[in-house]
Amino acid sequence: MPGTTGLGPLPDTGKLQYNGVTWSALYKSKLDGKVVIDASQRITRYMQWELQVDGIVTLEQGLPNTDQTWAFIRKSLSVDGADLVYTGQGFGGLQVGPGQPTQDVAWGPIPEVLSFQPLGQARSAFIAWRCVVRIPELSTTPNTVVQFSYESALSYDEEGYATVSLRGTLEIALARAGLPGAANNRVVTQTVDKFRQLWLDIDFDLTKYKIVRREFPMTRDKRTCEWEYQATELAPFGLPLGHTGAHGTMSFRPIRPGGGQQGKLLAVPRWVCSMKCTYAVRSDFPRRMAQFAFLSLLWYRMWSSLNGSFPVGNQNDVNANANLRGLLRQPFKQAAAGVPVPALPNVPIGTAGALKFYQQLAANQKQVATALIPVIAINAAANPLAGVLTATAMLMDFGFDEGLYEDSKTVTFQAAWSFFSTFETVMQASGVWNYSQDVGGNVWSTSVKDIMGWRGPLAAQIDPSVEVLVDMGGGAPLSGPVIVAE
Amino acid sequence: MAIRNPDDVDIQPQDGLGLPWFIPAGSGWLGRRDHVEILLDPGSALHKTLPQSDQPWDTLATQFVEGYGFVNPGAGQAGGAADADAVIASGGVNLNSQSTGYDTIQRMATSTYRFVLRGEAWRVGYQVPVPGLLSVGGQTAVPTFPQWSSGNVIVGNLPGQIPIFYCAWELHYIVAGPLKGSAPIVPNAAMRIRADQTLPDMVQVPFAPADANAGVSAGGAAGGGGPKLPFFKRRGK
Repeated sequence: MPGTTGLGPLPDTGKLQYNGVTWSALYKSKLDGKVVIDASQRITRYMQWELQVDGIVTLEQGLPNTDQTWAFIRKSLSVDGADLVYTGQGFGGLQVGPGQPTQDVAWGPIPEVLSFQPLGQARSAFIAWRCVVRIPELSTTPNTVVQFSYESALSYDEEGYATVSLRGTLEIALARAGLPGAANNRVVTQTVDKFRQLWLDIDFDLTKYKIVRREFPMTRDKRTCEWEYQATELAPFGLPLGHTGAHGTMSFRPIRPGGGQQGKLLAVPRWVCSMKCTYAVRSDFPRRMAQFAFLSLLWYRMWSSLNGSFPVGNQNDVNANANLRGLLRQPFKQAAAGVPVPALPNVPIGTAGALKFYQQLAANQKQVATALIPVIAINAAANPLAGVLTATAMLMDFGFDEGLYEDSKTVTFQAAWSFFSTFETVMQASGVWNYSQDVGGNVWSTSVKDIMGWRGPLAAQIDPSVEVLVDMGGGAPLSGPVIVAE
Repeated sequence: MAIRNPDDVDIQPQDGLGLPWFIPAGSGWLGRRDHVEILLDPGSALHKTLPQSDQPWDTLATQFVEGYGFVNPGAGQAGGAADADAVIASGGVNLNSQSTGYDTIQRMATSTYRFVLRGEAWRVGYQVPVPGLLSVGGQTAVPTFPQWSSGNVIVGNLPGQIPIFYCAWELHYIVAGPLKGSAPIVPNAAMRIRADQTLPDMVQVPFAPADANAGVSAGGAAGGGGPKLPFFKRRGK
């Protein structure tokens, strides 16, 4: 029969068969095994067995030579991913392939060498064949995870901020065996990308870190993802609600009013703060979130002018401010004593806190700033600083730069306001280092938590249906005059 | 997919949103300059005699301009030479008088002081009030001619349709009695400073509010520890 290596004088004590080719007893075989461990050097991914077969192809009955037999052998033994049966040798059996109880983990079995050495008159020939299979000796479950491990790198920059990098390997078993139609199927129904969603949904503490890079490259055999995460420690300010990027500066200067000679003079205690911030809102949120974030911060810091000392009477009597200094330092004393410090002392947060700002926005309620002035007056009545602390902010400038087209991820707002304050209280009155409650911490982390793991706002996935095995060298049922041996 | 705008056009949360604008009447000055000019007539009177001959006019000039060039002194006169490119080697300011006579100077019993309160100011939200002198040097300041003001002019506005007013003034005063002390100096309302300042031994450094983050840490994180490992976890399985 052409599907065999010919007749042999000895009875078969075992069975060696691959892709329809059945060896007679005229061969010797050897299996070289190699334990293949994972990238972490600690677990066995699979056993790689190299089957080495050296034998003789003999003349079939009724045939003039071995041409037909070798033509069949050449076609059959060069095909990847077919059934390999190697039994009866006392090895415990090696049955790998689409129709076998064990499945290769990497598209195998993979034939590697096929040698032909004629013995004379085209009647017989030596045959040497090498075939590699990769099998999990402990499991026969097809298309499961073969390895998952990662390395981490923790680094600190010169400012002392941490960067955490994770790089790992996610590898799954994949072979025609696990696919409908097995060896003859060229359709791939799943890839390692499907496992990415389950295995690489890594959760960072977003109150302390920002995810800055995620990469999920997939190898060409669709089995392996050499993934990478990188997270950097958040700056103290954090990011505003719903934003994936926010940068900015606030400038603080004394006003130099008027023109001519007067323009060269300082006009302490009159100051101007200017603020410029660039925002990137997560792509599935309305971009006017950037406006809200900017207005919230602007609104909050303009309120801070309430903390500026605006003495009445003899403005120049520095000694008269001694008691004032003590009162204004009260927040420091509170902090030293472990008392939580209000984010902005003296600002009526209960009435006009930053979260209230958003709540009222969401409720589409009007916020009229001037209506809040009586609140200050009421507070001032019971406040020992009454008469010296006065909100004096007034908006001087407002503008924005919108990124267009491919730059439309960002928008930049800028504004300036001025206020009165004595020199010694300008830091309080400018709002420097204080930020509203809508940035950082749980507020921000909650607002972007769902775009942290395996997905972004766009849940991009690799569609396995676009994958196809271009399989010119094999896989299709053989046809023609050759007959597959029984 | 790249172009998405989930905004509901029927919801305008920013509608009616206000930013704070806190301007007490005393802090709206964008700029202000006041000064009191003093004009003193010490009561001196100058008596002169008429000329006894046709002598030339006195002049400070040592070189003359005529047409498009210079001419030397005496040009056009007898002995003078017209020279458009005249270059003189000396001169400067001519104090040589043509007369050799003397005047008589008499004094009156009192001097006359005239004080001019002159200034201008820019103010946000509120009109600029024109100031006035009540007294000066211990004497009642009596307005005299001229009393001038530009009136309040709206010269600009801040966001929110808040007007910026400008006003200038020139107010003249005279006094009847003898003066004592020194001239008044008007406080600068825009700079919040006045002339009787006590110069400090040192300049108080601005002090900062407690950093919001530091404040939370001081009150919340027992032991002061930083983030504990593991700082991440793998969701799902």
